[in-house]
Amino acid sequence: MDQMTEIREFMKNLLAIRHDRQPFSDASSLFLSGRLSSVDAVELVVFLEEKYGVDFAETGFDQSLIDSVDAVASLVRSVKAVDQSAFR
Amino acid sequence: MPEKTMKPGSPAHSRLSNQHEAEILLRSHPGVREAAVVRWNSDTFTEEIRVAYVVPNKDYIDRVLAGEEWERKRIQKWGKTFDLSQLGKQVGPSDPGFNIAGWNSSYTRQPIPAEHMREWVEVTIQELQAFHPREVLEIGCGAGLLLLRLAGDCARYVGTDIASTVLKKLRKQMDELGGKWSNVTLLERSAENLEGFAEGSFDTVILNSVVKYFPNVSYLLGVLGGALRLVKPGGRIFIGDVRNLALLEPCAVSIELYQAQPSMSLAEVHERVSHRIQFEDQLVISPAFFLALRERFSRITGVEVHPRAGRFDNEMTRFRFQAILQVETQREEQLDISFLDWTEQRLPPDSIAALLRDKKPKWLAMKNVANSRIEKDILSLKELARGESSGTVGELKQSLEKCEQKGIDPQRLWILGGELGYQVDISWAACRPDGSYDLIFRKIDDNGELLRQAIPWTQPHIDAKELTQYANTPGRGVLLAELIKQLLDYCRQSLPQDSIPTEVILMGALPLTTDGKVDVQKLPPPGVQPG
Repeated sequence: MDQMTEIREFMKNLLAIRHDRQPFSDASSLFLSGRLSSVDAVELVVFLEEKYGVDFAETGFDQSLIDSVDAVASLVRSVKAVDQSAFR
Repeated sequence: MPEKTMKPGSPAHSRLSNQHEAEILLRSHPGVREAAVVRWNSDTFTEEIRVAYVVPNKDYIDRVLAGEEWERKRIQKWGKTFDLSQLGKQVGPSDPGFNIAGWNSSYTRQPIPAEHMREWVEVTIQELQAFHPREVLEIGCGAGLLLLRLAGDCARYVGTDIASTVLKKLRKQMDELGGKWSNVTLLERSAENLEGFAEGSFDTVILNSVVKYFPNVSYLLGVLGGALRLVKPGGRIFIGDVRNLALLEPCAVSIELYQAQPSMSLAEVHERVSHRIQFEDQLVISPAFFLALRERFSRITGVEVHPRAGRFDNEMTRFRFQAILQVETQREEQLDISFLDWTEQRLPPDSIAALLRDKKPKWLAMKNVANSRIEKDILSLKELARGESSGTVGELKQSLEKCEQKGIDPQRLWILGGELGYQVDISWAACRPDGSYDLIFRKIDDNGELLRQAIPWTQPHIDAKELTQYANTPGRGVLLAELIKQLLDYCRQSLPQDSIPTEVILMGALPLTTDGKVDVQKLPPPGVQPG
């Protein structure tokens, strides 16, 4: 499963459990809009740390960083970019 | 299973067939009681949709929720939540000693206004200072909202917290504020870890606004039992800002109505309310739990439970209470008094004031006083519970506007008593689901004395053996979300690509046909979670 699909699915499960029936796109605001809570944010953060090695103590944390599928994907990309540059 | 034909007339989707292989696999998972997997044909989706309808195994879910591993995970996740709250940009005022990052309103999901938080802190500080604490253990001291104010007057103040970033911030604040903090010890540990403290070495143990993050009621019981041993005779355990289980329903109604669009149907609100309650993330506790502790622990000689003071209208003043467990205090005889039933005459505050001023009684006790803070929430709840919720949110809000307020804000009575030389004690021991309260005014004489006997508060029948009935089971939503993820992973491990469900929908039960088979036609379409 590719990264975008995986992130989308994770968000979808969080929404489903919050009883959220509205559709969402990759650009939809999910946290700042209030559709997901800080408890959900922690679930997502743990997932991103474990799966993609994002370290929020380094990046800082703000819900805008994980607000949408697109935001999460770009966060993960930026972390990966840093990782690769470390091996140069 | 025979291939289902397309349902005639179904506009967007049609059900195609059951996916036997996936069903058998899902049923083999311990978290699953029933499963039906249906392939959907759809005009609106380009890809094939395979939905797994799963009835979770309730026993399994309950077992996991009560297990130690889940406890540990939950505690870690809350610690993480608080740490994350400190990593964000500064919101609100940046006064040293007043770090309120992460305190968000359940209504607006925005930071709670600073003046509300100031009052929230002030009320608790005043209450604690009345005890003149000297040796304090604060479990869950967080960013030090209490510690930084109280520690100066203490010989020893130990603060523990699980969130390392929060403690780091607190240390930084202490440096910035200057002064001596040599009497303060900060320890990064979870609440149940009380290692290294001698028995009877504190006069006050504080758990402020922290038990709501405990994973379950037995964990809370363990922490309180442990803390009790550390308290010296005459001391106390102060449990502040506890969410009241007796008011969980009006609380959920209040928040859902606030967030709902005016056009939303009351039936929809009703559904959201039950979902909110069922999937509540936090531990919500009845005052009866603390009353029951007196029967569990002989060292507890008195229990007080009262609504929070404060003039601001917010979720803390509406739905939360403070509990004080007195430890080996002198046994006092009970005051021999009877309580007037407030509902008989519905005395307004002015009449109560006149009565106290003119007659100057030594005491005045009343029960069943309606609580104006949540009157509208209670009315809304009644309206929703009538079952014939045909109206809309807008209509309900309009009709509530017209309702005349009948109850009294407890704050009004505290102030009134103070002005007239009375000590006012207000109790939620009766645990009534309308938030009504009982109270007693006791005259403070010229020597500052008042009737000291124990107050015979009304309380419900208490069953100290079954404490789980006095709290909810938090975290069910998080666990079910985890289960969905697990099930999808489980299928991916052993099913061919074209059989893996693309979506899991959790159900209370699967609809059946008259001959007892799953009624595929009655299953909800993809993308919809039934309540």
